[in-house]
Amino acid sequence: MAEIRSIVMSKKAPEWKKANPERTDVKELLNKTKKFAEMYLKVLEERRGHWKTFLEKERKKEEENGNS
Amino acid sequence: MATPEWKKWTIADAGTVKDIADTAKELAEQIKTTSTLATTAMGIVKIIAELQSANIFLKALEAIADELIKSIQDMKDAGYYYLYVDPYSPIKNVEPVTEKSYGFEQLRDDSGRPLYWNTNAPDPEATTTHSVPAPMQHVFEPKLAMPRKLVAGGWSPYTNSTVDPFSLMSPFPKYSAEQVLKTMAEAFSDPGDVPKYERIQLEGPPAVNPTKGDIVFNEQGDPVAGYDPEIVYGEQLYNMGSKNRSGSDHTNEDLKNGMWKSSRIKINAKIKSGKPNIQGNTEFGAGSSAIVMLIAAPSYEIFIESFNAFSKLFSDIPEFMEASLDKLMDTYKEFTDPPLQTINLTMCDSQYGLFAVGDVIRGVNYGGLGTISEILSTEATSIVSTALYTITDDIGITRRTLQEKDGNSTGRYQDMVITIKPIATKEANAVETFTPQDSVREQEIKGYWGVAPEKYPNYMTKGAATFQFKGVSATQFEETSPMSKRKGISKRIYPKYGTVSMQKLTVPVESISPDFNTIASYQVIPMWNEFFEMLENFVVSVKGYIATSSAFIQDMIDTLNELIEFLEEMIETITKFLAFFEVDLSGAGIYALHIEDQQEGNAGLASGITSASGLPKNLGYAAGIVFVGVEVGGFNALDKFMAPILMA
Repeated sequence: MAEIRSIVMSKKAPEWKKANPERTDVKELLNKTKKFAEMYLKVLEERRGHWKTFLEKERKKEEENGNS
Repeated sequence: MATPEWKKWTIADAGTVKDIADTAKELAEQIKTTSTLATTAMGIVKIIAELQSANIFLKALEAIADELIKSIQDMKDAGYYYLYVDPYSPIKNVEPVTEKSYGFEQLRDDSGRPLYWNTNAPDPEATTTHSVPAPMQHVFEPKLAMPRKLVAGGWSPYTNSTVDPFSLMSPFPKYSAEQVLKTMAEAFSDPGDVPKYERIQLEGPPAVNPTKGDIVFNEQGDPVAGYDPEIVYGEQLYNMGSKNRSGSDHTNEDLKNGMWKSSRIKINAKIKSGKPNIQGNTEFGAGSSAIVMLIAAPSYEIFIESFNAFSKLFSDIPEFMEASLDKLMDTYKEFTDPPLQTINLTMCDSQYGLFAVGDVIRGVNYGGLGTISEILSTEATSIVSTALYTITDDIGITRRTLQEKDGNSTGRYQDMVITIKPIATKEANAVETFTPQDSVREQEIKGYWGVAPEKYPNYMTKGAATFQFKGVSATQFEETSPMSKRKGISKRIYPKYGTVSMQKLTVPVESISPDFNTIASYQVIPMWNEFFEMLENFVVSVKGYIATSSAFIQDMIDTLNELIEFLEEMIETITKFLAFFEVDLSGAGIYALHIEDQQEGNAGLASGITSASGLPKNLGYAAGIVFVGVEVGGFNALDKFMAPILMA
C-alpha cells in the first residue's frame, strides 16, 4: 500500500560566514548630529547677520537723532 | 577569574555611545526650545520680516532635531542579552591552555625528525634512524641527548604518542573557536547565571529602608521573610505588598484597592541580568534569535590584530572598552621581538673557537638563549696563581719563595662582552635570563616546533648527537677505524663554550619613530574626550544665550560668534570621529553566525551555535560574543538593529 508522507520544509540551517561588521548605528547618529550642527550653524550665521544689521540701523538712528 | 556571564546591552545605552546619544538628544531638545525662544525674541523687536530666510532653516533644523531624538530613542529601546567569552584580555573569563609536555631531550636529525636507535645492537650508532620499521619497534628506543636534559616536547615514557610533540606545541595559550562556541552553548543553561539584585540605600523613613530581619515583599506583593540588606538576592524586592507586614489588609482604602502597586518602592536594584530565560513556545510564537561574532584566527598575531580592530570598533560594549589590548600585544612582542641584552662571558676557550656574531648560545643549566649580534670586546682572561716554591742553592741551603704564575699566558681563554638578541625558549614561552656561573654552549637548529605560521627553530647544543663518554662508547665516533685514529680524525663535534660572569643592565636602544605607544581609549578615537567636552560646553553656552539674548544685542552677537566658532569645531570633530568608524574589517579574522527567529528558546539557540556549519578549521585562538534578542509582539529588535551592523 502506498504511504502518504508529508514533507516538512525546514528553515535553512544557520551558517558561519566571514563578517565585516560596520558601526552603521554610530555613524548614522554622528551623521545626523553633524547635519544638525551644520544646519544650526547656518541659522546662527543668518541670525548674527541680522542682529548686526539691526544694531547698525539702531546706531545710525541714534546718530541721526543726536545730530538733529 | 570571572566566568562568562550574560549581560544586557543596548546599543545606545552603554559606554561612550550612551554619552553621544544622551548629549545629542539633550542638545537637540535644547536647541528646539532655544529656536522657539529666539524667534519670540525677534518678534518682539519686530524684525521678523528680515528673518524669513532663517525661518526656513529653523523649520528644517527642528525636523532634524526630531529625527535625531527619534533615532536615539529607537536605539535605546532595543536591548539585547550578550555573553562575551574572553580568553585573552586582562579581564578574561575563561582560561586558555598552553599545550606543553616535558620530557628528556631527544636527538633529532637536521630536518628535525626525532631519532631512535637499537642499543642492543653490536654497533648501536649504526642503527640510528628516524624511521623505525614496524616489526623492530620493540627493540628501538628514543636516542636521548647526553647529558640528559628535561625540555618541552621531549620524550617521556608516560606518553605513548606517535605524534611528534613539537607539532602540538604553541608559544601562546590557546582557546579555540570550538571551545568558545561550546562555552557559549553551555552558558545558555548555567543554573547560577540568574538576575542579581543589590540593596539601594534610600533616603526616607525606616519603612523604605528595611533592616535585617524585616518582612519585605516580592514582585507579586507577597511577604517574604529573612531579608538581609547585605545579601544579593535573585529577585526584585519592595517595601510594600498587597497586605500589611502582619498579613492583615491595608488600613488605607486606596492601598487596599490596588494602589499598593504604584505606591511601593523598590528596595533593591538589578546589578546582573542573568542569562536569557527563553523556554521556547511553539504555540504562541515566542521567538528568539541570536547573532554570534567570533574573532578567531589560526595564528596569535592575526588574532590580536583582528581582536584589536573589532574591540576598538565596539568599545561601547563595556568589556571591549575595559580590555587593555596592550597586554596581548606585549605578549606577542616579548616573544617575537625582545630587547637586546649585554652579557659578560669569561673563560671562553679559543681552542673550541671563540664566539662570533651570528652564533646562538644557550645556558647549560639555566634557560638563557640568544643570537650574538655584536662582540663588544675580547681580552685575555686573567688566570694568575701564586705558587710556593722551595729552591736550593749550590751549597745545599733551601729557601722558600712565592712566585706568580700566569695560567693563561698563551691567551687560550678570553673574556668577551657580547650583545645578544634573546630568543624566547619553548620551555618558558618567553625570554629567559642568563645566570652568572652558568656555562653557555653554542647551539644549532635541529628542526622546528609549533605549527605554521607560529613555527620556531628548535635549538640544541651543537654536536649533541656526537657527545660521548670516554670509555665504552668512545670508539663509536673517535676511533671508528684505525685509519681515522692515526689521522686524528674525530667525528665528535665540539660546541664553542664560555661561562657567564654577569648580565649587564642594558639601556634600551633608541627607537626609530613612529613608536607603538600604549594607547588609551581616548587616544584611539581622535579627539574622543574633546568631543564630549565640546558637546557639554555647547549646551552650557546655549543656556547662557537664552538668558542674555533679549538683554543686550552686542552680547548676543558675541555669544553667537562663540557659538559659531564652537559649532565649526564640533563639525570638524564629528568628521574626524566618523573617519574612525570607517574601518574595513573584511580582512580580519571575524566570523558571524545569525540564528534567525526560532521557537526552541535557549536550547534551540545553544544547539544552533554548536551545529552551524561553515566555520574554518584550525582557528586555535578565539574570543567571541553572542547577542540574544527576544521577539516582543512580533518584533525582534536584534534582527532589525543589530543584524545590519554585524552582518554587513
